[in-house]
Amino acid sequence: MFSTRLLSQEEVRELISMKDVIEAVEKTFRGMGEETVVNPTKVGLDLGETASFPPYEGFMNAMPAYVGWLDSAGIKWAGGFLGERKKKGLPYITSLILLIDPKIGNFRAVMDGAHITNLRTGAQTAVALKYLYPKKNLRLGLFGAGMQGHTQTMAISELFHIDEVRVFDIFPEASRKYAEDMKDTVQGKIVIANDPEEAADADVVVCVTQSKDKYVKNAWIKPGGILFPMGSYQECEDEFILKADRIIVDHVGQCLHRGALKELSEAGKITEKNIHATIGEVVAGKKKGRESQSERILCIPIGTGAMDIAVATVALKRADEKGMGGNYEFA
Amino acid sequence: MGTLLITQKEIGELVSMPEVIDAVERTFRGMGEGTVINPTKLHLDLGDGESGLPYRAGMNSMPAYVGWLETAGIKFIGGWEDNPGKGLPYISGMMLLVDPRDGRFLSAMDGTLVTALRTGAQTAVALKYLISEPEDPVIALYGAGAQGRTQAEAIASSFNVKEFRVFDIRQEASNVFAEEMGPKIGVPIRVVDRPEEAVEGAHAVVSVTHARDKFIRNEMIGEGVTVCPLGSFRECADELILSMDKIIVDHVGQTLHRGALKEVSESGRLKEEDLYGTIGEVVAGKKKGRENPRERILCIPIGTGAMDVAVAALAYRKAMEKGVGSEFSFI
Repeated sequence: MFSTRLLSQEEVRELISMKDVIEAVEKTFRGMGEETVVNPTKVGLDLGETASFPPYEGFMNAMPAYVGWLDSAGIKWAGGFLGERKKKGLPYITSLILLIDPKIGNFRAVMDGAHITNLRTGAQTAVALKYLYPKKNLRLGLFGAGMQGHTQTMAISELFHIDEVRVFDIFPEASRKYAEDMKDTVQGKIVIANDPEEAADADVVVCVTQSKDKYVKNAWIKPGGILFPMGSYQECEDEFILKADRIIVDHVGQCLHRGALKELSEAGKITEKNIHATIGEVVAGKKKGRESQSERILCIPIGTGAMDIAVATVALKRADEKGMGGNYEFA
Repeated sequence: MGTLLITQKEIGELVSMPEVIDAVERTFRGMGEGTVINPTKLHLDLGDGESGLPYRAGMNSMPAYVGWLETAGIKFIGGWEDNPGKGLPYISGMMLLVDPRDGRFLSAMDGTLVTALRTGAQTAVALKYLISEPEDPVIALYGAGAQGRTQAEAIASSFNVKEFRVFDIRQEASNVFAEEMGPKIGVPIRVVDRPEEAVEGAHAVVSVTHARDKFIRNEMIGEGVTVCPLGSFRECADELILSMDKIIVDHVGQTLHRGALKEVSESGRLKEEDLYGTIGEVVAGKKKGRENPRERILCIPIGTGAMDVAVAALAYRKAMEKGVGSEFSFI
């Protein structure tokens, strides 16, 4: 009865640019602040990422959302797998997005979600920076030179003039590849840091690693500095989390139970009260982002389904206009 | 890497009710034995007609991993209250399957027929362990809609049913049901005028209605009767629920917050320890089902993602064998 559009990763890539994604992410943050977005806390399916059974070294997260400014609903089902997936040389992230028309419930699209995840994760940081970092020029410290490191850089370079990137990765080869790939994206120079401390000497520090080592030291983040720990585990010292002037997150419920704040939150040392604002509240103008030049800010955009649904809906609209992708009647 | 797309019509041709019942029984056993992972479903509220969004609809995200099939998947499904009035189906749903070893998306398929089939099969499997008359039972059925049809089909395929007694608030629906289903399942179907009449001499009561008026009263249910209230709202009187000898559910977390038990649970009159056990524990032999012919048993298989994933995996395997469905490469 209804036709569902099918879009491959290649088609999604052709349909949307980082610029489009940043615009959609900013509008969706504003919608979150204005409460026109519905985004329940994601539900995980542990397939051996941390659990002892089953043995697959992976997980899948279900991230449903409704986005008011696009009047669109859907779900991203996305996960990461090591194990056999890694052996086969496949990317860590696997993902599909389903979109529905919230008026009558028909499925409008099934599309790859991995590319959208990578782009929107970068865009979230860039949009947050737009409201938290007062200048046009910045020096970026980057931990993790993989796919996420690339998209973080691409997104930030859309909104800022990057004078310098200091990149650190435990695999020097990855840093060298990053420097080669990003030389036309970064306006200034790219420096491969010899040790983590050298990389952290920057205005803005972005961490996109799988590390559990709390490797970013409190002392490394200078007055006025902003740290984005985006990994699944805690990448910075407890002391920085406890001493930062502001903690700003994208989704309070999610951020207290995953990533950088999980451990301190579960120990009762960080509660909802310690979170100054959500990025949505800041973008919507309901709360201030930065109030003084010297504040040190901890910002954690861990990722919400709303961003994926927004970006996927923009891609679908373009595909509808261009007649791109497949069509299928499931029911 | 292709993902197999399967339509509703194809699913109907690929799987038979006895196969669905077998898959559901094995999955219940897996739940009892701890080889199934089934987080509590996550709801995306699109409005209830009074507050929030204007759609009178909601979507559930139901991810699960089924050990005996080594398959992970998710069902994204919801109901639109205003759809039937527009000539559109009430339910809209899709399923995605993932190979948990390498994270590849195996299949995307319609989720509505899978739901109807497994919902019938869940009751049939539970009754195998709980009914007081396994030879030639009489079954009272409340609700002659789409769900009533798959309930009758599943029960008739598991038991040599002596008679179905059908009641619906629209007698016309019951008449059509009897005409259509009688020949299909080869069981006499008697249309009755009142709910009380249906239950006289019945061994099991299966209720699939949208009732909120607690029309199944305590005095209607005699010794030895098994009652399965499957509606989303309030079909059973409080005294009935509170006086049953055993309450058996499919998923403790879900059944205390939805459907028949919601009200008595949220008002504190029914606690988790008042539940006798799960269908999975009974099927796995960890707990006894019916222990004597007089017990009055309340059984609530509200529906779990694991059953959907199991039935969808079965459809996918048969589709691969037979070359049914179309492939699409999302990446």
